Amino acid sequence: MTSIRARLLASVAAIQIAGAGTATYLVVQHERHQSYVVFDANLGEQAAEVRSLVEAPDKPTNPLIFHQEFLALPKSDHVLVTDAQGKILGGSADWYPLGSLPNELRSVVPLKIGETEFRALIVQNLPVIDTEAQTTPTSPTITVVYASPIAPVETHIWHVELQAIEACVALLAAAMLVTGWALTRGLRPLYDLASDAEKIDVDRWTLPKLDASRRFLELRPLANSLAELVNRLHAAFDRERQFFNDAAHEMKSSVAIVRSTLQFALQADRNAADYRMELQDALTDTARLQDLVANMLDLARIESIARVDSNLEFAETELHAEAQRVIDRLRHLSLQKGIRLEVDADRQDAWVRMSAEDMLTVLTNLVENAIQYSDAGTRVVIGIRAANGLCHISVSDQGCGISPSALAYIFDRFYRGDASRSRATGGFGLGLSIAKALVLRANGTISVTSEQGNGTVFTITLPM
Amino acid sequence: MRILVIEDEKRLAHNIARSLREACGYAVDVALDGSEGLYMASENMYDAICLDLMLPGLAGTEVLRRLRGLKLRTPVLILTARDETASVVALLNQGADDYLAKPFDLEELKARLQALIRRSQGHADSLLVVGDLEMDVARAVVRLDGIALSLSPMEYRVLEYLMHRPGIVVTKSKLLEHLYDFNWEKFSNVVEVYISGLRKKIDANSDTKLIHTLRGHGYVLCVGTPE
Repeated sequence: MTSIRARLLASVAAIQIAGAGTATYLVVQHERHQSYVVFDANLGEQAAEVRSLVEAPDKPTNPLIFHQEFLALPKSDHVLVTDAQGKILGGSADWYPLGSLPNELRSVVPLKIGETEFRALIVQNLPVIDTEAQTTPTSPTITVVYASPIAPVETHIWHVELQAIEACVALLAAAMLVTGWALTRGLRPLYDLASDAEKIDVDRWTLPKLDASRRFLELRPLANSLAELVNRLHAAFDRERQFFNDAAHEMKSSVAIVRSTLQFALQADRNAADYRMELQDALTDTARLQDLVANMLDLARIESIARVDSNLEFAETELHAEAQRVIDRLRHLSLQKGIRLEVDADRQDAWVRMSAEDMLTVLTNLVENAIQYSDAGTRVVIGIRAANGLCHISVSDQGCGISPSALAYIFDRFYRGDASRSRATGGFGLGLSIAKALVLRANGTISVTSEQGNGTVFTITLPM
Repeated sequence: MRILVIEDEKRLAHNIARSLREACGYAVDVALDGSEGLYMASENMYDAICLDLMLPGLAGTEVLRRLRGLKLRTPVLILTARDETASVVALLNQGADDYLAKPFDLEELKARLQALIRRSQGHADSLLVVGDLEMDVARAVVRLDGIALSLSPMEYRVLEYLMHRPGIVVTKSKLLEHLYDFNWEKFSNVVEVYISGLRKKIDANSDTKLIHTLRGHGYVLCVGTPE
């Protein structure tokens, strides 16, 4: 498992270390440069001092005089003075002559004497100052070599380097602490949101920290999608719970009816004919219970099969014949209510990929529903239209219509559009759910439009 | 006693109604939806109401709320297929007197209704006693001096109503209200017929009369002379 916090901390640490390294390097380089500028200036000053100890002779032919007795040399330093011809005029005792001289008249060179590292200033062609402290073009010239050990400078630079490194480490530690704290603080809204999400339960569908999370630009997409997810889940859960409650309600009611009929029969001593009548009633009541169970099992079966295998192969069914069968089947009901059933097809043979049995169920449920919500003297029409490889099957009525608020729930299981009518019609509110499930399973779509007072149209679209 | 059953399952309402008529001798009216039930409950005098919760038109809880809003104190027995504790508690707090979860036992429904009616009249026991006259409403048995009396269903209804209110003047119109459901034709003079029938069976062979008529007022069931 990787941690965003650890990654961010590592990134910050890497940047910090790189920065600190560069800074340390620059500081040390600068210090080294400065130190050697001072060191070199010191060498120059010392060389000038040494030069002043050389005295020009009265006569140019005489050799130059080097007043070594006045030489106050720091113990570690070395000096060498030669004349223009390279003859040594003097210097410190343990001094060894150089090899060839560099081309530049004034140069600084590294030098190793024994085991000690030195830095030496070599000044050539340096005119000797005469008694009047002046140089003239005719003055004899000398070469002065002055060397100092570099160890003290290097030690100083090393100290500076150490200090810089220490400072950087301290800074790094402070930065990591601050970054860690800032990250914890910065990630808190995320943790808050997560702990909110963790508490989501069947009885708790709120994210109290949602608005707080939405204030953060980076969290907003997550917070929004989480909120949407929770809402969708909540709605789905409520639908399932509603279904369960409705199913329980229907079952209990149906059982209550059967039971009360039987209990009434047993309540008093009756003659055989009365008992027979009561039993007949009880039998009718159980038929209702049987219908309910059958409908619920149908729905469960259709939906579970649809989930398991969405590529079911369907037999081909001719719509016109099925529509006619539906009309035959519901003729009794339609005559009873005084409603005319018609088929309106634009062709005689329209084949769709759906089993005849399923098609019969779908159309029966839709037409039955249409009849139930229609008044006497109106028509219910099954329309069949084919176009572009699709078949549109419509069931339209001239009934009371469905209110816009009910329209959205019309396919919900156990939903009954107008509660006051539904009982009288005896349905369970499962017919349209079953129709929809069957159509969806056959890779079709089902939709509904309704105008209150003018009627309702259900439209099924199926591949041909 | 007159009962109102507000229940949208036609068959269940029918079974409850005929069971109450047959076993308890109650007059029973049925309303198949909430608004009709509320109207009937507010227009007639009922001794108890059976109220289903899942009702078309007007939900049962709303019917209950409006009934109590109208200051009607009629005992209400809730019939529900949902038995979640929270909703039961809410209902009882809203003014329901008892509840029964579907599917229920008709016997239990009858017993609970009788208990509700009894308690609404201030009786804890199912045995009502006035003088030598005893009525066991649970078994629908009437005894005089320990001997069971044979009463017609309507005589039983009249007597039960009076026995629930001993010593209280019950007007003829009130009796009529509580004796008949909408299935019966109402004739005001039949009350006198039942009263005289009851007198023959209860007071004929006794020195202490129990059923008294206050001219212009109504009837009183009590031991001794009514005040």
